[in-house]
Amino acid sequence: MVFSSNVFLLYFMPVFFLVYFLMPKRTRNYVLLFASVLFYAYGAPEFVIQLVLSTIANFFIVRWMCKTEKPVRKKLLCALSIIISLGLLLYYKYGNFTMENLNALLGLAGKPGLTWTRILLPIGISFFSFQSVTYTLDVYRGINKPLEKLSDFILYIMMFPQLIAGPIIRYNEVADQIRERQSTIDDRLQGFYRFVIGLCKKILIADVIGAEVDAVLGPSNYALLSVEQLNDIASRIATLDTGTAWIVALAYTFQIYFDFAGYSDMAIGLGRIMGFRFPENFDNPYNSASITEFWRRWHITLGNFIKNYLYIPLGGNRVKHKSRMYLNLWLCFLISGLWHGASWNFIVWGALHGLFICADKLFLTKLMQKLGRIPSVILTFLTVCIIWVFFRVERLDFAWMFIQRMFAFDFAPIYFSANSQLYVTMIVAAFFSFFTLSKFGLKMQEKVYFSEFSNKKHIVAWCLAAFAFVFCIAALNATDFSPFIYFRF
Amino acid sequence: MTFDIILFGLLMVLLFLPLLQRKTTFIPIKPLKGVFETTEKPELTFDNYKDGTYQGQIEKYISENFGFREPVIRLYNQYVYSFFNKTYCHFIVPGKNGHLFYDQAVNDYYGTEIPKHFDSDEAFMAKADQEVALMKLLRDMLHWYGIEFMAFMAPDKPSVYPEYMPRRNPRQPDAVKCVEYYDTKMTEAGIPHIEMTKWYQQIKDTASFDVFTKTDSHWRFSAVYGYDSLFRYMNSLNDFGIPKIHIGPVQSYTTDKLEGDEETLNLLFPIKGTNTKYKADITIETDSTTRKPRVLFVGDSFIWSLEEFLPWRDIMENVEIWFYNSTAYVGFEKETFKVSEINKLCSLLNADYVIYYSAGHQWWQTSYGFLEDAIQQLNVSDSLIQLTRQMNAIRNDEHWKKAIQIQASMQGTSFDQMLRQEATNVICGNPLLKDITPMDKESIIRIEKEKIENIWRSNSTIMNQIKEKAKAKGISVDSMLKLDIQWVINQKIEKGELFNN
Repeated sequence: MVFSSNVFLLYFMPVFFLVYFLMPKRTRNYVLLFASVLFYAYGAPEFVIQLVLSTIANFFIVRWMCKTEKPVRKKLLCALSIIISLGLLLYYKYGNFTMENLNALLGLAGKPGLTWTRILLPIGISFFSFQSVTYTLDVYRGINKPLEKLSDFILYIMMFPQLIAGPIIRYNEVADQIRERQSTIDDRLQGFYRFVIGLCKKILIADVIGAEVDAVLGPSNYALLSVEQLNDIASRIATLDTGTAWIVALAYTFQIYFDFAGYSDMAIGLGRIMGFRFPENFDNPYNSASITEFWRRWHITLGNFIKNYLYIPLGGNRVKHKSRMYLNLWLCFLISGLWHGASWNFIVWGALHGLFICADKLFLTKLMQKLGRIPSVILTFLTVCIIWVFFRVERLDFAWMFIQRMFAFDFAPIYFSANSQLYVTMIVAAFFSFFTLSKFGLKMQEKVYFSEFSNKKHIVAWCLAAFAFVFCIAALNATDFSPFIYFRF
Repeated sequence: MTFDIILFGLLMVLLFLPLLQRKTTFIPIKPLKGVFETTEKPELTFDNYKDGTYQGQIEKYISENFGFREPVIRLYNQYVYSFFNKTYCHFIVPGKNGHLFYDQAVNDYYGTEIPKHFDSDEAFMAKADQEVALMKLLRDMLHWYGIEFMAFMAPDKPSVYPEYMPRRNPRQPDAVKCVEYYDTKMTEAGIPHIEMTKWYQQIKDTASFDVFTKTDSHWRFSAVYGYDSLFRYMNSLNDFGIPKIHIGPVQSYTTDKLEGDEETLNLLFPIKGTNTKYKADITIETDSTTRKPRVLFVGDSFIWSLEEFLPWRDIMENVEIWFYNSTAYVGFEKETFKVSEINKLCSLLNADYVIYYSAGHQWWQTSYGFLEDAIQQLNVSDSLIQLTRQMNAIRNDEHWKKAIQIQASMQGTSFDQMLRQEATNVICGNPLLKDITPMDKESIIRIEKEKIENIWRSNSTIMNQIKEKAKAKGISVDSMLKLDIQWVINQKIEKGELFNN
């Protein structure tokens, strides 16, 4: 189930909150747990049992790990728990990719390929696998005690607001909230406002722009397309004029941000209605003056995960040779790319980001500082925009062809010349992307997202949120385009 | 705190309102207009749940059935229309100043429609040439049965009002356009046809009405003139005697009632400045020489104006419409069938005219398969032989032959014509005359006398002559009339016109 669906907005959410708030406090976790299983079972019926079973297995393995005194056994149990979590991820997410490349290699060696039935990717597997890993490692490192109740652990892994597209919540960030939390009426109202802001980002901006991006680049998952469809896309890209290519690249840059940030807003909002305080996942990433800063602002919870559970264990900054540090950094981004998708374009995307991060450390940051804040933000934004091409266009040859069209300086009439909705939406997206570059913008963001609301402010916010909610349902049903990008990861 | 609770309570009410409305319909709501497919509520089974089809279907079902769906959809439609001049109505695109256009027509105007369906202009031209050849063949075949075939290209709004067109990137100026190519080729092949767009372009600045209303991609009131031209042209092909259409002075009026494509945009508010409509008194002139034809129309939605703006029952004896050669609307009551399920041969042979019509931009769709179908139905190897055999069978049945002779005499048509009609009726499974008991001579003479008397009495010239003859002979007009009628009857008997073989 996705948040921007009629089933969720018109049935699941009202009924869930009614039941949740009518129940006594001590039973609310069970209501949430039941709803979360239902939520996941609705969208991924074939995988829900495996998810529940692997979660239960992890819970007991970690408990066993805590009770055992022997360090070797402790390590082994920790490894077993991680293997279970990441094993599922590796099998479901990278099985197809591995077999395709293996068969390609066998083909090159003149040997017949291995037969393989394509595996469907369970929704949200990348997110809950990582959450499970954080639990195991945090408990192993002694940062937190293990949860007492199995139901609480399943709830931590499967809590529906963040189950399928994050934010990736470290166990120690919500452990206390799962046991005990306060949900004031103010939280509930502000949570709803935040949810609606996310819904608007998703439906009114990301989906509108996304439909136009798809019109040029085709649907995002190329693995599901026929040869004819791929040929169509290739011929469209090959004949793109430079203006259209840039508009598409910029459009996708805004689409992916508003899509993913919208989802995070919705997750944070839903959590807040119930009294949870989930970590922020975005901090105006397009205001970054370098790629390093971009990664401090973009998908913050993934960045933290990579840092804490990969970069630092690899040695972090405390390595003997700087070259090793650069290699570690680059490897982290390569793996981050691979986490986003099992195909070469994601690896290239991660590798490029890794290269820029290394370049930042070597010389780029100093150079950017000399240029000044605004030129640096513009250059960083354009760099991110170009690199996004590898993220969106899943075939490397197509992606390269697209980038060539961006720099072909072929100024034929633009494909979208009469599409005012696209342009207006992109302007709105740009406005909200860069709004917080100003002090006024930052102040406004603070007021809307994080400050206490007076009665007067509540009335205004409630009316706006109610209208926006109805308007989003209208948009959702008047158009038929609403898939979330980040569910695939 | 209390204030917050009230707001939270209101929030819960807001979330539950659609459910409440769906279950109770406590607020009556104006339905959405237009044709749309509806999804049946799916039944939950383990299999459809496991493979995800249930989830997809229920989402679609809810999307079509949630409470307050109608105003909510109108709200978003109004937003995209007002701010971006865009609609979600299938195929309808807004132009400038509130004008609505059909998307394909706009594409054809800019030369971008053909490349969507053909690999090259040459491929389109080859297909069109083949199509025109088929039209010629069909026309020749139908002629043998005494049926006229013609083509009718309804006008395209973009060519009439290019100044209101939505902005698009045109293809090269010499790009092939559907309307122009077919028009030229049909003229070269000698296929009778009317291309209405040119005429509409000529009259648009001088006519006392808008030849296309703003909010419709189809013609509306102006269709009256288009159909008047069509029926005149049809009549000119074979002097059938089709009743004439008289159009009175055009009057404009305003109404808040939405019509045409504007209605199907499903907006909250009407488009500005679009409430002027037109009407005129239309009369149909008939006399003893007029005959109402049976017409088979094959084509697109431009036909519906015929029913809306003209008294079609007074012009035609019968009508059959094969909408996109897919749905058949039979008779004035528009009894609906699938074209694939009706007796096509019967429909073709029962028509006096077969009209293939479509808006110009749609002609690339190659008659929706109609031409091939019709030619196959009329193929000499089966239908013609079938008809000939049937005619011979009737000739060899004295009883049946007599009935046809009498009927031909009564209707004032030839024996051969009546014979072919009856044979056609038999093929269609509806023989009219086979079991009729032949009348005796007295009855035939009586009916013939009555027929002649009716015709003469309605003709003032003949009646004046009879009055003069009666005066000269000193007898009453009625007696003179009877004497003359008897004389004509005697002549017919002598010539064998009444009781011939």
